[in-house]
Amino acid sequence: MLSRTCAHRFWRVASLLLVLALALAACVPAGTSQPAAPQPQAQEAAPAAEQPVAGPQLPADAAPEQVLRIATGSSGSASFTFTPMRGGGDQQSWQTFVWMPPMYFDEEFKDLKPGVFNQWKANEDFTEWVFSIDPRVKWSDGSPVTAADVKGTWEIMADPLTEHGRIVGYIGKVEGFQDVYEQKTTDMTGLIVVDDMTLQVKLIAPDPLFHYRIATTHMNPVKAEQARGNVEEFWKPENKPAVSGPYMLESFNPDLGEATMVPNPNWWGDEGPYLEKITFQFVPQAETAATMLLNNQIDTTIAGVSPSIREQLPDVFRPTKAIGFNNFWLRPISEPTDDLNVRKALILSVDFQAVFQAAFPEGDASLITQMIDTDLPCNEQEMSWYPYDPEAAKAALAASKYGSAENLPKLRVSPRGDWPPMNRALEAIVEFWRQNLGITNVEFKVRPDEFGEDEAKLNLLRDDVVVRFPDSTQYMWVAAHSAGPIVSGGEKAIMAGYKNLEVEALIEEAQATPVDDAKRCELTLEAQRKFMDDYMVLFFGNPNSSRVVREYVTNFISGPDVAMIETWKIYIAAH
Amino acid sequence: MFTYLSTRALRWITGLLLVLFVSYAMMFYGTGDPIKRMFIDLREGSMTVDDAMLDKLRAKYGLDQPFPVQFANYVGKLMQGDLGYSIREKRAVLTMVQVRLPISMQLGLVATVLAALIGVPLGVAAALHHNRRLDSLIVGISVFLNAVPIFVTGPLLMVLLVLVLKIMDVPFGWKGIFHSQVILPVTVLAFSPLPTIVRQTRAAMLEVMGDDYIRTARAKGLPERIIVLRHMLRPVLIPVVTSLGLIMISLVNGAIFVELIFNIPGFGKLTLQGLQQVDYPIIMAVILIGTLIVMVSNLLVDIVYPFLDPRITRG
Repeated sequence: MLSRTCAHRFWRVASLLLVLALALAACVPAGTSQPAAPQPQAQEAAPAAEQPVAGPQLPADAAPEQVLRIATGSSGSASFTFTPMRGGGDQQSWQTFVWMPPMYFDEEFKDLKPGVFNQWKANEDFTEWVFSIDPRVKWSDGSPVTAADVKGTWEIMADPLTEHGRIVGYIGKVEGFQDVYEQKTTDMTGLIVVDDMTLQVKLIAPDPLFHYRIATTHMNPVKAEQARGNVEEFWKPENKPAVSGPYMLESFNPDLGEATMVPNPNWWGDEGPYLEKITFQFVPQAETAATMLLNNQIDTTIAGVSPSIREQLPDVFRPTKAIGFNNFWLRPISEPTDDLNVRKALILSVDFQAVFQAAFPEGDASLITQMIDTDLPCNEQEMSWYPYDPEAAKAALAASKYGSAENLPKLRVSPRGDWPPMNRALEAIVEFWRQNLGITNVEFKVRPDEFGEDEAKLNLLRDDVVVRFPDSTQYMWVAAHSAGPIVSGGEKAIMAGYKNLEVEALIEEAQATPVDDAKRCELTLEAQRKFMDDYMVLFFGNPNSSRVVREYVTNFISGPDVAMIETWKIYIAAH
Repeated sequence: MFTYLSTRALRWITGLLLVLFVSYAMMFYGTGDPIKRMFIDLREGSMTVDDAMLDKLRAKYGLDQPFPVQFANYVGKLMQGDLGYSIREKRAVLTMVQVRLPISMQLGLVATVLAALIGVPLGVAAALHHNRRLDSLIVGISVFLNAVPIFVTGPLLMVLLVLVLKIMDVPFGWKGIFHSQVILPVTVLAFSPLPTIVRQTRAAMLEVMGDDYIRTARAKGLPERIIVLRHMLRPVLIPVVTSLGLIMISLVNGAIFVELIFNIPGFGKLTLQGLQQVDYPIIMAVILIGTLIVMVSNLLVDIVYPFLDPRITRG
């Protein structure tokens, strides 16, 4: 029991601590019931060199207030940035607000449309390309965009310390790229500034698709003199970056996860921009973003909102196109899937319609019937591979070197992740194997590394074929060529050990054929047929792609690289 | 006093170095590669760059060095007040901590005060109605709050208040501790220590209620209100207030879910960000600050105790 004096002392100390704590609370980023005052970290843009006299004429159905409220940030990604130099990340969706890409694909993923470049042509063997800059394109400071800016930007992107995640795939074939990539020089010899408005690109190998490769927001030119030596910071508002897109960053606060964009006063396009302001909140938590959407606090999010809110907001999921889908790939490097007849048995014993229903019970997906994505211009719409045929499957297993399920070595399978549809699909597939072939010796683990030393012995893995421009030949190369990402990468590769010289020859011949030549498609489809004869892949469906955006946000469309296209056309319709 | 403080400080520095060493070793040997993590396409699940680029970037961030060199470099920079450079955010970690720590401290402080303001009276009421309905109700609610995790109560309350009752907007960002948006996160944060405070107060009250001096006070005819407030509550509050410090520390360090759900850019969210991205400098800064908070608090308690109770010596 403490004495009265001690108790008094205690209260004095406790009071002092409380006062100190309250003083601390009052000192740090102040808050009132008013909108937040600019924070110490907030980075405000300098006043624009030229203020527009009046905004563009709004479309007839536009709302009087043109503010787009975006919740950015997706699950698993905790970075809030708008850097244009990274070649990926959540920010890639919004890059086209600020920067004009070299070119871009239309919403059907079919036609290439001009961006910074308005003309392009290749020589006969596709080893040299010439790109012309649209003379109207200028930076927000009023200066013209030049070929030197494009060359400089791409050279900076090629420096590995810039941390561009996909640069090799885009300009890796440009002469001199490797020297820049290895930091031997900063000058990429294959990028030649012919004059201010013309860039010549020399390649080390023919590439009829080079113009497709660079038609992405990952290759947006920036003002090279600003970016050089200041890659991490130049794009921030306080550094007054010159931009080429319809909007510019007005403020950016990475600590509070807030940013705003305003119209570029020197926007050079014929239309727009219509939005007075774009606000960004960093909200990676899907449940929080969904509640904000339902409470009308935001207009769009990329946070992976559950389709369960469809009941309240039926129009909020706007269908979009996306190239590529996930498949289960068999690995010929491992026993018993090294045997063609075993692979055939494993595939024909599965009813893909049933697997599809198990994976997507709500039907928000499409059934896959062929290797090439049917959203691509070259495919075989009428063709459907691998009919469900248990008897043929049994016969194939009997014809294999193992003869029966009892003699079959253990099958190791992994969906490489815990996405429920693919896990359900794989469980259904394993069940079909058990029912139709009597195979029970199957080990299922969510992640390949859970197999430990046996990881290289895996028989089936999940992965998707991803291409960022609409070309079926490239799609087949990614999926089936031994140099493509599905097959290459050593003994742990998704389809390690696969090599069909006939398939590869067809793909390579198609790659060397012009995009608009019908023969290119024929060769690609023939490669697909040959590949399907090797029984390498099990389909389970392609979930419908959509953007979560309120119905009144008009012209909100994304391209094959997920960046929004023609952002100057976006406006808020009256609602 | 000087000897006492210098001994404590020495232990303090040794302990801190030990924590840093163990944490750094665990990250070095146990966690993933932050550079690889940067280039894993979350949709594709595969790397978007080659090994040559990964090697160059490891060298850029000094991650190609052996463990002793990396750790020595880290401690050397730390001695100069440099918490490092975030691999993912591309900026000094110190600037991130400077903004985020005060936010979490404000939240933790207000949540602690709120929990105390609610918890102590409830604990007293439960003790005064010992083994009666009110006692069971209060204890039951405490057990319930203790059992249901924040990541369940947070979203549920948000849906209830925002979408069903429509009495507020989803709080997001940080507009200051006095902004109405803070009410919900602070309330949810206060749920966590509330059961502890209720239980502690109730138990201490029950112990004090049987003491002779309370019986004497009643025999003297003092009103029950005076007995409770003046004679029972003071001794009961001493251990409770002492534990409030620890509670606040845990709230500052552990408000990850609340900050995530309510999108508050605080220390907890920074912690999660560091862990998700295997961003070594952020993880180390979070561990360092967390350890420092605990150590400084313990030091303060050690210093303050003898003033509260002269029977406690600084021996």
